[in-house]
Amino acid sequence: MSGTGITVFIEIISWAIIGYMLLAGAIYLVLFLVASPKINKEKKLNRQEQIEEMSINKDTYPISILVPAYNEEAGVVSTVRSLLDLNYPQYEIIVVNDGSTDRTSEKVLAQFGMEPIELAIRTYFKTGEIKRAYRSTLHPHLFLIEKENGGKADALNAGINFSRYPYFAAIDGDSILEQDALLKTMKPIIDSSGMVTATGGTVRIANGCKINRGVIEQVALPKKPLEVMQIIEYFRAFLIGRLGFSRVNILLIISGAFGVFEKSRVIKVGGYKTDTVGEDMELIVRLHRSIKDEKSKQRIEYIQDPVCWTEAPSTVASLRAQRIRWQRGLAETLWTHRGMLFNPKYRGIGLFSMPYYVFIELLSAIFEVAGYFIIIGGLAFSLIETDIAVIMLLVMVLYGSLLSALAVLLEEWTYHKYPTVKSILVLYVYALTETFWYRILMNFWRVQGLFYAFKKKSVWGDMERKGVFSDEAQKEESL
Amino acid sequence: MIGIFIGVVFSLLGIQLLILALLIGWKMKNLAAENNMKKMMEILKPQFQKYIEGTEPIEPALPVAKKNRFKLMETMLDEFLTEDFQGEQKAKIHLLADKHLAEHYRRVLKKGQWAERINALYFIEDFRLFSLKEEVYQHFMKISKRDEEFRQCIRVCATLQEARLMDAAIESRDLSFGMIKELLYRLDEDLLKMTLERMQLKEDISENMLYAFITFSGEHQIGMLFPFVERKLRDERKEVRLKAMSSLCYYKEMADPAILLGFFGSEHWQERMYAAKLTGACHFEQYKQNLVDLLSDNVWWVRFAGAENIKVFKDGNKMLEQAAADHTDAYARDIAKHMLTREGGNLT
Repeated sequence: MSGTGITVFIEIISWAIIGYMLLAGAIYLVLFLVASPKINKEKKLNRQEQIEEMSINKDTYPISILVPAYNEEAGVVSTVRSLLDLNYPQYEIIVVNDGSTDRTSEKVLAQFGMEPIELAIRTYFKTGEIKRAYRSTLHPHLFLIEKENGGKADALNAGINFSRYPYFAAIDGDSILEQDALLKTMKPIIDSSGMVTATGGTVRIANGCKINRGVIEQVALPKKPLEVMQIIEYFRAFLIGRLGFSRVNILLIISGAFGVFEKSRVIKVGGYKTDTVGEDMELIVRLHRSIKDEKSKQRIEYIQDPVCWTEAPSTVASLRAQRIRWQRGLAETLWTHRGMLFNPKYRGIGLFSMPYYVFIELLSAIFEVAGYFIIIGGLAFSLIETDIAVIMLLVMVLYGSLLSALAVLLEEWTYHKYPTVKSILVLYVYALTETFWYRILMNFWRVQGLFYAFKKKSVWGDMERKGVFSDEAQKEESL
Repeated sequence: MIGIFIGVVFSLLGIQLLILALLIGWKMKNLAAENNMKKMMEILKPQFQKYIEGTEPIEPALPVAKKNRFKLMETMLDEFLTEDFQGEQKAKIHLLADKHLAEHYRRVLKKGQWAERINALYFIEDFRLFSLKEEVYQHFMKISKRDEEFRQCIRVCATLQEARLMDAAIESRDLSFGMIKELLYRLDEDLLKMTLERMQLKEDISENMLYAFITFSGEHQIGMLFPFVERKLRDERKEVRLKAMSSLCYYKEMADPAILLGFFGSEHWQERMYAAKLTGACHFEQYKQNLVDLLSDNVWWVRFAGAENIKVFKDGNKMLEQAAADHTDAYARDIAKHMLTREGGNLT
């Protein structure tokens, strides 16, 4: 190919990428437009009054809360404390220690007066061997199971085997729930008399917040730019994306940090898949698949209230590992269920959700990374016309920074959880910088994640938890 | 071309900055209003508390400025409701709510937005604003969508003892089991009796209504309905029998315990499970051996219910220890051991 031929080829690719990004941005805007009437309608609703009745109603379904924990000694006690403090009529907490090599079990045993119990559990799913089980003498509805290491999905399956109640909530060992989180998340299930089979709520980042004994006392921003950017990223994902999908019952993700499920439906589809790193999304896709296969009218819903607070990675290494893992999980799930892609049998899921996740969530990183090279090539080496490179940069600003900034505005318009004016300004300014550093990092890691998915290479990395929920960490932070 | 893109990006940025400025202005105003409200509350709440307790005979004056007056009273009275006021004092809170809030809620029901109307309905119920009974019923008649507004509106109608609502509920086949129970729980004795009589007379009531009726009778242990509930053990429908068994667990008695025997061998595991539960709830010594037999049932829930209800008897632990040691079935031994250590502690 001649020099001019290469230039023309790159120009065509450039316009394709520009077109792709404009289309992706437009899809986000459509999702926003789909979500905004509901947000607007419910904005003034008194959420406290809404769940008052449920907290005393005998017919509020009892629920088992599963806490898979692998090396969570820093945060597990606070997580359990926040769960013990939940406002819910009847529930049990099951901490599943998935063969931790740290002091996760010791911390729980010492803190909550656990006593051993003999097991006679059901085996809906085969899991790693259960070694011991304990029950708290202080809180009779708190249990600890110790099992051999088998991964998060295996721990959740073991928790389901052990659980007693018809619904279960899965919560990460490094997350805490707001006091009314369960009531709010169960509300769509109860209101629909069981037609809603799974629900998820908004997850927020707790880094920077003041937390006391498992309760968020003051919402504040962290100091590290990396953590601030993740807060914005979560706004964008939850406020713009998920609600739009949920509105038309095509939501494919309920965050692994917190979700509620109808146990019988999960058992019917075979529980969590243990050979993927994206077990949370994979389960939801399988639930959708089973609902559609059965021609059932059941739904999967997302509630917009911020109900779960989680610890975000605070170092480049741990964030990189997390994103590579997420990307790999996404790729594996989409590959496993590729038969649903463009399959009219699965209606919105097959015709919109799956293509969206393939072409926007999975592959956008490749387009964006290609775009970076074109911009550099155009501006520094005149490989293409400077105008095209500038247009591509502007489109990236539109797609990255301005959409994220919109999410910040949306958060302030709806929940305004951050109590100071300064917080909003900081978040907005950070959002505008997204295209120029944070998004570049994310895209390179996501591309790496894709390669790892092809090679089936695992990168669990080290979360390097600060234990933002532990009392000790809080004391140190405040010194 | 580049000019268009620059124009689009900067226009959108400009619009966003404008919205940001508005949101910040709105936030500052709200923060100031919240602080102001907090200060007013600190001054007025103790004064109103004294008035409600009767130590201060004259109702305290509200701020001259009408702005925030409604919100202040709503918040304050709602907080009082969560405190331990009883009798006359509680009635005084309701009277205050009627005086200061009812008119506003009346307007909201007519002209408010969806969320505002629902909030108004929540508070009409909390404050028991009987003066709005007709307005709420008329509002209920106008609602066509079965959403939160519909659900809350019928709850309020029930709380305000609106007899016409119960007529509609009996006729309806759409109300869920849970919703009907919620309504029954809200009725006073007279309206409840009237509703129950009407339900018993009507032959083709919806299944949800029947289930709610049976369950509610047990949960409230309504004596006059006991024979009706017990009769339902012989119903042809499995779900009705199960509801009756569950209800009888609350009554903790059966006039004819012999009926139970057949359920221990039922083809439906739920019936075997409830047979175990009823045996425990009513302390039927004669069925203890049936419970031991259930320990080797092929369904975990039945085994669990069997073991759980053996434990209810005086010699229950002894029976479980024996089962844990000697039972021929491994599942039975496991469940017996589990039950013995369920509250923590090693097997001795």
